[in-house]
Amino acid sequence: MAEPVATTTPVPHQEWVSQEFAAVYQEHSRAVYYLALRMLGDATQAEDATHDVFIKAFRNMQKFRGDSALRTWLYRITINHCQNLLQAWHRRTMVNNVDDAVWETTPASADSPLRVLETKELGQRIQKTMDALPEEYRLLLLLVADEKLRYDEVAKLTEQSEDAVRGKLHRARRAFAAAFEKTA
Amino acid sequence: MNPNQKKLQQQSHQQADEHQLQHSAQQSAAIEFANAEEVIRHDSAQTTVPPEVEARLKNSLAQDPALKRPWWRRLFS
Repeated sequence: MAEPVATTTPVPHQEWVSQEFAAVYQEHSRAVYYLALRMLGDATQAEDATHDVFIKAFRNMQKFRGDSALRTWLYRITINHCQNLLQAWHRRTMVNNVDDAVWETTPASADSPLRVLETKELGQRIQKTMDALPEEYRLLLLLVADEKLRYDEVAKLTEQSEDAVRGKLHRARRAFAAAFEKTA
Repeated sequence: MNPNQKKLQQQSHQQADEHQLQHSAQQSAAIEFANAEEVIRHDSAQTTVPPEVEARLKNSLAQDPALKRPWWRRLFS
Protein backbone atom coordinates (compact mmCIF):
# COMPACT_ATOMS: atom_id res chain seq x y z
CA MET A 1 0.00 0.00 0.00
CA ALA A 2 1.37 3.37 -0.96
CA GLU A 3 2.15 5.79 1.83
CA PRO A 4 -0.11 8.82 1.97
CA VAL A 5 1.56 11.87 0.50
CA ALA A 6 1.75 14.85 2.82
CA THR A 7 -0.15 17.77 1.41
CA THR A 8 -0.01 21.42 2.30
CA THR A 9 -2.98 23.74 2.29
CA PRO A 10 -3.20 25.06 -1.26
CA VAL A 11 -2.85 28.79 -1.58
CA PRO A 12 -5.52 30.14 -3.90
CA HIS A 13 -4.10 31.73 -7.00
CA GLN A 14 -4.20 35.46 -6.61
CA GLU A 15 -3.26 38.20 -9.03
CA TRP A 16 -1.28 41.24 -7.98
CA VAL A 17 -3.54 44.08 -6.87
CA SER A 18 -1.22 46.51 -8.59
CA GLN A 19 1.09 45.92 -11.53
CA GLU A 20 3.27 48.80 -10.38
CA PHE A 21 3.80 47.10 -7.05
CA ALA A 22 4.37 43.77 -8.80
CA ALA A 23 7.25 45.40 -10.67
CA VAL A 24 8.65 46.76 -7.40
CA TYR A 25 8.54 43.26 -5.92
CA GLN A 26 10.15 41.64 -8.95
CA GLU A 27 13.03 44.09 -8.94
CA HIS A 28 13.81 44.28 -5.24
CA SER A 29 12.52 41.14 -3.52
CA ARG A 30 15.77 39.20 -3.79
CA ALA A 31 17.78 42.05 -2.28
CA VAL A 32 15.30 42.42 0.58
CA TYR A 33 15.13 38.67 1.18
CA TYR A 34 18.90 38.27 1.13
CA LEU A 35 19.47 41.13 3.56
CA ALA A 36 16.84 39.69 5.91
CA LEU A 37 18.28 36.18 5.53
CA ARG A 38 21.77 37.20 6.51
CA MET A 39 20.64 39.56 9.26
CA LEU A 40 18.29 37.02 10.86
CA GLY A 41 20.18 33.85 9.91
CA ASP A 42 17.03 31.86 9.31
CA ALA A 43 15.28 31.20 6.00
CA THR A 44 11.75 30.94 7.40
CA GLN A 45 12.09 34.14 9.34
CA ALA A 46 13.58 35.84 6.31
CA GLU A 47 10.52 34.79 4.29
CA ASP A 48 8.22 36.28 6.93
CA ALA A 49 10.31 39.42 7.09
CA THR A 50 10.25 39.83 3.30
CA HIS A 51 6.48 39.49 3.31
CA ASP A 52 6.12 42.01 6.14
CA VAL A 53 8.55 44.48 4.58
CA PHE A 54 6.61 44.55 1.32
CA ILE A 55 3.32 44.91 3.18
CA LYS A 56 4.77 47.91 5.03
CA ALA A 57 6.12 49.30 1.77
CA PHE A 58 2.75 48.89 0.09
CA ARG A 59 0.92 50.66 2.91
CA ASN A 60 3.42 53.49 3.01
CA MET A 61 4.11 53.89 -0.67
CA GLN A 62 2.47 57.31 -0.70
CA LYS A 63 5.06 58.43 1.86
CA PHE A 64 7.89 57.51 -0.48
CA ARG A 65 8.76 60.85 -2.06
CA GLY A 66 11.66 59.74 -4.19
CA ASP A 67 14.24 61.59 -2.08
CA SER A 68 16.18 58.36 -1.99
CA ALA A 69 16.27 55.41 -4.35
CA LEU A 70 13.47 52.92 -3.88
CA ARG A 71 16.05 50.21 -3.06
CA THR A 72 17.45 52.37 -0.25
CA TRP A 73 13.96 53.01 1.13
CA LEU A 74 13.15 49.29 1.10
CA TYR A 75 16.45 48.53 2.80
CA ARG A 76 15.62 51.07 5.52
CA ILE A 77 12.34 49.26 6.20
CA THR A 78 14.12 45.88 6.14
CA ILE A 79 16.88 46.96 8.52
CA ASN A 80 14.40 48.46 11.00
CA HIS A 81 12.18 45.40 10.78
CA CYS A 82 15.02 42.92 11.32
CA GLN A 83 16.62 44.95 14.11
CA ASN A 84 13.27 45.10 15.90
CA LEU A 85 12.89 41.34 15.57
CA LEU A 86 16.40 40.69 16.82
CA GLN A 87 15.94 43.00 19.80
CA ALA A 88 12.57 41.47 20.65
CA TRP A 89 13.66 37.90 20.35
CA HIS A 90 16.99 38.11 22.17
CA ARG A 91 17.62 34.67 20.86
CA ARG A 92 20.72 35.21 18.83
CA THR A 93 24.11 36.01 20.25
CA MET A 94 25.12 39.39 19.08
CA VAL A 95 28.80 40.21 19.23
CA ASN A 96 28.20 43.94 19.46
CA ASN A 97 30.51 44.44 22.37
CA VAL A 98 33.54 42.94 20.75
CA ASP A 99 36.38 45.38 20.93
CA ASP A 100 37.56 46.40 17.48
CA ALA A 101 41.07 45.63 18.64
CA VAL A 102 40.24 41.91 18.53
CA TRP A 103 39.85 42.18 14.78
CA GLU A 104 42.87 44.45 14.45
CA THR A 105 45.09 41.63 15.67
CA THR A 106 43.61 38.90 13.50
CA PRO A 107 46.13 37.47 11.05
CA ALA A 108 43.90 37.56 7.97
CA SER A 109 44.48 40.35 5.53
CA ALA A 110 41.62 42.23 3.90
CA ASP A 111 43.56 42.10 0.63
CA SER A 112 44.10 38.33 0.54
CA PRO A 113 41.73 36.50 -1.79
CA LEU A 114 39.11 34.27 -0.19
CA ARG A 115 39.29 30.75 -1.56
CA VAL A 116 36.22 28.55 -1.74
CA LEU A 117 36.25 24.88 -2.73
CA GLU A 118 32.66 23.89 -2.11
CA THR A 119 30.22 26.52 -3.30
CA LYS A 120 27.21 24.46 -2.25
CA GLU A 121 28.02 25.14 1.39
CA LEU A 122 28.98 28.73 0.80
CA GLY A 123 25.74 30.06 2.25
CA GLN A 124 26.29 28.24 5.53
CA ARG A 125 29.87 29.48 5.74
CA ILE A 126 28.80 33.04 5.07
CA GLN A 127 26.11 32.81 7.74
CA LYS A 128 28.57 31.45 10.30
CA THR A 129 30.96 34.24 9.39
CA MET A 130 28.25 36.89 9.66
CA ASP A 131 27.16 35.54 13.04
CA ALA A 132 30.70 35.98 14.31
CA LEU A 133 30.91 39.63 13.24
CA PRO A 134 29.74 42.70 15.11
CA GLU A 135 26.34 43.73 13.78
CA GLU A 136 27.77 46.97 12.44
CA TYR A 137 30.31 45.16 10.23
CA ARG A 138 27.73 42.62 9.09
CA LEU A 139 25.31 45.28 7.91
CA LEU A 140 28.04 47.36 6.31
CA LEU A 141 29.32 44.45 4.23
CA LEU A 142 25.84 43.38 3.16
CA LEU A 143 25.02 46.89 1.98
CA VAL A 144 28.33 47.61 0.27
CA ALA A 145 28.05 44.26 -1.55
CA ASP A 146 24.94 45.58 -3.30
CA GLU A 147 26.31 47.28 -6.38
CA LYS A 148 23.12 49.31 -6.73
CA LEU A 149 23.93 51.27 -3.58
CA ARG A 150 26.33 54.20 -3.57
CA TYR A 151 28.59 54.94 -0.60
CA ASP A 152 26.51 57.96 0.38
CA GLU A 153 23.41 55.74 0.48
CA VAL A 154 25.21 53.15 2.63
CA ALA A 155 26.32 56.02 4.88
CA LYS A 156 22.71 57.20 5.30
CA LEU A 157 21.41 53.71 5.96
CA THR A 158 24.06 53.08 8.60
CA GLU A 159 23.77 56.63 9.98
CA GLN A 160 27.37 57.67 9.61
CA SER A 161 29.61 59.67 7.28
CA GLU A 162 31.00 58.31 4.01
CA ASP A 163 34.50 58.58 5.46
CA ALA A 164 33.44 56.48 8.43
CA VAL A 165 31.98 53.89 6.06
CA ARG A 166 35.24 53.68 4.13
CA GLY A 167 37.29 53.39 7.31
CA LYS A 168 35.11 50.72 8.85
CA LEU A 169 34.80 48.81 5.62
CA HIS A 170 38.49 47.97 5.67
CA ARG A 171 38.20 46.60 9.21
CA ALA A 172 34.99 44.78 8.33
CA ARG A 173 36.69 43.07 5.37
CA ARG A 174 39.55 41.96 7.58
CA ALA A 175 37.17 40.68 10.24
CA PHE A 176 35.19 38.82 7.62
CA ALA A 177 38.32 37.23 6.13
CA ALA A 178 39.49 36.06 9.56
CA ALA A 179 36.11 34.62 10.52
CA PHE A 180 35.56 33.10 7.07
CA GLU A 181 38.89 31.25 7.26
CA LYS A 182 37.77 29.61 10.49
CA THR A 183 34.64 28.19 8.85
CA ALA A 184 36.62 26.16 6.27
CA MET B 1 56.39 -10.84 -11.74
CA ASN B 2 53.52 -13.27 -11.30
CA PRO B 3 50.06 -12.40 -12.70
CA ASN B 4 48.68 -11.59 -9.25
CA GLN B 5 51.44 -9.11 -8.50
CA LYS B 6 50.95 -7.50 -11.92
CA LYS B 7 47.22 -7.17 -11.28
CA LEU B 8 47.82 -5.59 -7.86
CA GLN B 9 50.29 -3.12 -9.37
CA GLN B 10 47.79 -2.14 -12.05
CA GLN B 11 45.10 -1.61 -9.42
CA SER B 12 47.45 0.52 -7.37
CA HIS B 13 48.30 2.69 -10.40
CA GLN B 14 44.62 3.02 -11.25
CA GLN B 15 43.80 4.15 -7.70
CA ALA B 16 46.62 6.68 -7.78
CA ASP B 17 45.35 8.06 -11.08
CA GLU B 18 41.80 8.35 -9.73
CA HIS B 19 43.08 10.12 -6.63
CA GLN B 20 45.06 12.51 -8.82
CA LEU B 21 41.98 13.18 -10.96
CA GLN B 22 39.85 13.89 -7.89
CA HIS B 23 42.49 16.23 -6.50
CA SER B 24 42.73 18.10 -9.82
CA ALA B 25 38.95 18.38 -10.03
CA GLN B 26 38.82 19.85 -6.53
CA GLN B 27 41.56 22.30 -7.37
CA SER B 28 39.87 23.44 -10.58
CA ALA B 29 36.55 23.84 -8.75
CA ALA B 30 38.06 26.32 -6.29
CA ILE B 31 36.80 29.85 -6.67
CA GLU B 32 38.71 32.85 -5.48
CA PHE B 33 37.00 36.01 -4.31
CA ALA B 34 38.89 39.26 -3.99
CA ASN B 35 37.10 40.36 -0.84
CA ALA B 36 34.08 39.88 1.43
CA GLU B 37 31.72 41.81 -0.84
CA GLU B 38 32.49 39.53 -3.78
CA VAL B 39 31.67 36.42 -1.75
CA ILE B 40 28.45 38.00 -0.52
CA ARG B 41 27.52 39.14 -4.04
CA HIS B 42 28.08 35.62 -5.36
CA ASP B 43 25.98 34.14 -2.55
CA SER B 44 23.22 36.68 -3.10
CA ALA B 45 23.11 35.89 -6.82
CA GLN B 46 22.67 32.20 -5.98
CA THR B 47 19.82 32.94 -3.58
CA THR B 48 16.24 32.92 -4.79
CA VAL B 49 13.18 34.12 -2.95
CA PRO B 50 10.88 31.15 -2.27
CA PRO B 51 7.78 31.53 -4.49
CA GLU B 52 5.53 31.07 -1.44
CA VAL B 53 6.47 34.59 -0.36
CA GLU B 54 5.02 36.08 -3.52
CA ALA B 55 1.83 34.02 -3.19
CA ARG B 56 1.40 35.05 0.45
CA LEU B 57 2.06 38.66 -0.36
CA LYS B 58 -0.50 38.72 -3.18
CA ASN B 59 -3.11 37.26 -0.82
CA SER B 60 -2.28 39.65 1.99
CA LEU B 61 -2.40 42.65 -0.31
CA ALA B 62 -5.72 41.57 -1.78
CA GLN B 63 -7.18 41.71 1.74
CA ASP B 64 -5.33 44.83 2.83
CA PRO B 65 -7.49 47.71 4.10
CA ALA B 66 -5.11 50.13 2.40
CA LEU B 67 -6.67 49.05 -0.87
CA LYS B 68 -9.66 51.24 -0.10
CA ARG B 69 -7.50 54.22 -0.97
CA PRO B 70 -4.61 52.71 -2.90
CA TRP B 71 -1.45 54.70 -3.33
CA TRP B 72 -1.11 54.00 -7.03
CA ARG B 73 -4.56 55.44 -7.74
CA ARG B 74 -3.60 58.59 -5.83
CA LEU B 75 -0.33 58.79 -7.70
CA PHE B 76 -1.55 57.93 -11.17
CA SER B 77 -5.02 59.46 -11.19
